[in-house]
Amino acid sequence: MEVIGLHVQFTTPRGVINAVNGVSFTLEKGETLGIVGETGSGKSVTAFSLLRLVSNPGRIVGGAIRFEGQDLLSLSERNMRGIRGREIAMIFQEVMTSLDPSYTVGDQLRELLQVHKGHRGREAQAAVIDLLTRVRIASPETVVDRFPHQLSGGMRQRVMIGMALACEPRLLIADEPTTALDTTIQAQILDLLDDVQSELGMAMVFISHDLGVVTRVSDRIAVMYAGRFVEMGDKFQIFDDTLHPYTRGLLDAIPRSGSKTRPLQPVQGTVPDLHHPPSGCPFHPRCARAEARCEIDLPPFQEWRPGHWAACHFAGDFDRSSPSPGEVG
Amino acid sequence: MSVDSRSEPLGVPEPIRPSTSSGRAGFVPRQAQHERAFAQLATSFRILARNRLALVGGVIILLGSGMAIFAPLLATYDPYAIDIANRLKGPAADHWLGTDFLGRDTYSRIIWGARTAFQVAIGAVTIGALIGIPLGAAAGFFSSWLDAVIMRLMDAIMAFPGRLLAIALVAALGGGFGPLLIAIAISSIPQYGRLVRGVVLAQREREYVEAARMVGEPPWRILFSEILPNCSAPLVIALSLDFAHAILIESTLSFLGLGFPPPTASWGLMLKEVTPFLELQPLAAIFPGAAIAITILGFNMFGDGLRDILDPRHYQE
Amino acid sequence: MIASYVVQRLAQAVPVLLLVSLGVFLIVQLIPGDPVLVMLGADVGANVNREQYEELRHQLGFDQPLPIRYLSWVSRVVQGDLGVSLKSRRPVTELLAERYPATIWLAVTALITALFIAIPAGIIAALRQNTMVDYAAMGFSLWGIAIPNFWLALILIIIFSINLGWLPSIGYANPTADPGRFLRHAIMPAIVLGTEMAAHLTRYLRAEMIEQLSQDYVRAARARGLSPVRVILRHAARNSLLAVVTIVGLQTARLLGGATIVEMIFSWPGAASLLLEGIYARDYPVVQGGVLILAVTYVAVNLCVDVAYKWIDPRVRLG
Repeated sequence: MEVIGLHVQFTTPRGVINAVNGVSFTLEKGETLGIVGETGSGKSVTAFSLLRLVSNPGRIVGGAIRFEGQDLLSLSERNMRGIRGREIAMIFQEVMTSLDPSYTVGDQLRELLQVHKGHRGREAQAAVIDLLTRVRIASPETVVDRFPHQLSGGMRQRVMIGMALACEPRLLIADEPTTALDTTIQAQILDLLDDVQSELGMAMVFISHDLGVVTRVSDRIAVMYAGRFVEMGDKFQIFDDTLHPYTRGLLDAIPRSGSKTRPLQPVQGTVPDLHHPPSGCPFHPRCARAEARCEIDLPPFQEWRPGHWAACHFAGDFDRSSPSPGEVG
Repeated sequence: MSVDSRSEPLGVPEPIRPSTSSGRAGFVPRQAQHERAFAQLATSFRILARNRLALVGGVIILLGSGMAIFAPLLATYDPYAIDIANRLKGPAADHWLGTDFLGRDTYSRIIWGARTAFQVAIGAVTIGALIGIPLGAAAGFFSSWLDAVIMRLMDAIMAFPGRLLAIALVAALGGGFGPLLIAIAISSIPQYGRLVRGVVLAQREREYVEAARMVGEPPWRILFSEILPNCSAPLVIALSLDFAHAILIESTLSFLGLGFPPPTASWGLMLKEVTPFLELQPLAAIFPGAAIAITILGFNMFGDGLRDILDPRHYQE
Repeated sequence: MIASYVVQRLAQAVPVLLLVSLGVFLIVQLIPGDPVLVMLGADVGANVNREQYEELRHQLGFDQPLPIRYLSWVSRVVQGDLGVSLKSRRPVTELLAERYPATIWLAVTALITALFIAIPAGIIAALRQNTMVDYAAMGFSLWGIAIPNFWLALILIIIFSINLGWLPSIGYANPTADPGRFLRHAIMPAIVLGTEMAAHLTRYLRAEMIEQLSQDYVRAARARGLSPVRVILRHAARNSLLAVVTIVGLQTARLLGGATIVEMIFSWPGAASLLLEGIYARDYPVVQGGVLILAVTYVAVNLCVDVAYKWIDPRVRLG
């Protein structure tokens, strides 16, 4: 997949917001890209844009999204629908509300199989059981007749993953799938995703605000702030050779095992109001390294090292005492 | 001896009210308070003007009230003046909306009908609210058995399907202004009761109520300072909708012959009188009914419009 | 669980029913003047002899103190004795039973009409929010609530009976025996009652639909590649309808109030108009019995609807 200069706008009564402001990245087959950012950074909107699920009052206003050669933004809605659920699938954070509460899990799975693969009757039932087994649900025969509210969070997420995998998609978009789960279940789900991914050779876009979780799952990480990517690279580059002050701030904020006396260091300040974004670099009001030019010039997102991009005038030029990927997550 | 500069009151302590926009406790200079009140009123009008539904409804209400108040000036004939020779005429230059089966001028009767309708509505709604609000407040505030008793009473009133209660009451008490007032008022009581009770229950646990209690404020003062601000908005909406309801019930009862007796100028009664003559003069059925419908529409639109404005989603602006 | 809910609701209903019965009883007692004299027509000049007076007085139990009268009335009611009509000398229960079915048929027809109008209107209005269609639906709803049902009835009669002569304005036919004729008689009353109900329903359905469409599961369903039609109908609409069931029940029960008027205008021989006839004829046992039965029906329908909803919602049924 290739995303070039994606722009998504939201029209609110108070004005127009650039929720996604020129995001670009590439994703190879089988690769996992993790997108990290605070709430409001635009990461979820980016995810939805990939499937063209952005709806009023939001609109994709610019850029291109190429998937296996096809430009998704120029496809007809009908063709796009053919891609959703089949070639590209998505799983969500709000698992309780992502399943229709008035149908059993089995009904919803069967519906999916019927629509996508034309299974009916007993064939569909068998396929459903098969799917549930794949996502490691014990006793799928019982689960099939349950309603979403009767299942635990972890089970529901597995069902969602099952639904996403029904057609063996090439790309899975995971929007904070583990945020609402306890840590032990989190670990299980992440393992599941790992296995499924290698089984199917599936690429994945993993979105989260939790840098630790993202690191565990991803090959490459992109850090998002106020609608833009501020840094992108493989995880070792991000940790060993941090280029952007915001990333540095996120890394510093992670509580570290083994150093009990070190106080937590959150990133100072709050996320900017996108109705009135700061001039120049959007991070400059919170940046310890900021200088006068940061307020005037928007730093371009450029490749400072091979495969390692950042949007900062002083990429990499600040003191470092970062944890290594192994200490985190 | 030094004069304590604080002996002069700076202003009125402002009760902590989480639901209004400035949720700060503290002293507010008196002048600023008045200014703020005006500013708030002005903003309310501006918001009102933006919402077309409420605006149109408000206009209709004003027109109706105008008709009711200025009836003697607006009517062209005496609404009771019989003129058999000219009965059941259609709209003409001398009788703008035609005449009824006794030759009375329809237009004048409709104007005076507005007065009748509004009189009943204002009376019934006021009585209903005056009874329902304190009952609801008491039920919410003092709770347990009092609450249970009051709520059961309200449930009992609500257990009668819509108009049936009013019909039954009026059947027993006879027709006329008084019984109509009572019948309509009684069916209105529960909605105010429940509304206020809900608000009181919600606010009761808040800190400022606890604080006021501890300081020893009498219950009725606490209720005053908490009910008024927090349910004035839904109350106004309920009042508006109740007005519409009252007009509907009065006209229904009059239509059934159970409300105002002839020769009162009541829209519902006018429709009843027209019924035997539908074939002769169908137009006569249009005007009184339209009057009822438009008036009810006005109050409903106003209430709905207000409800839209006060929708929490609008607050975020 | 449901059983406990049913019991709970029944327990709640009992004091309410008691109060209702008390209310009905007291209302009749409110009649100014000596009700016995009134019933015998003394106020309109009929000659009343002492014997008649005493007999009626005793029969109605007016020679006993109020609480005893109430209790004996209640005990009779519970046994199914609602008194005897003064006009026709027949037991009220019999009269009601005779005319009840007509009211039920009317209510059902009205309900079907209402659903026919409200369901498409509500769903489409929600889908095409803030467009002409939406405004039209909302306008219909506003007008439907504002227009008094008796006026609508008169207008319909003027147009369809008097001017066009297509439909009869009064009368009734047995639906099982002659469905064609039944429909001809029932259309106008059903439309009058039905539009009133549809006006309310449309709003609720629209609001609920809008709410459902903004829910996560709708977006998740779209993300799975399900077609919009499927998502809307099988998921959003279904959930909306489920949520609206209680409203439907409430509105159906409210029909009983409106039915009184409609039955009278169209001379529909239902239980609700029996009530009015009783009022006009000062046939107080009929009025008392009628009001009581209609009120009890209302409470019963509401209760059933509440329970039914709890049963339908899988979250509660199997929670």
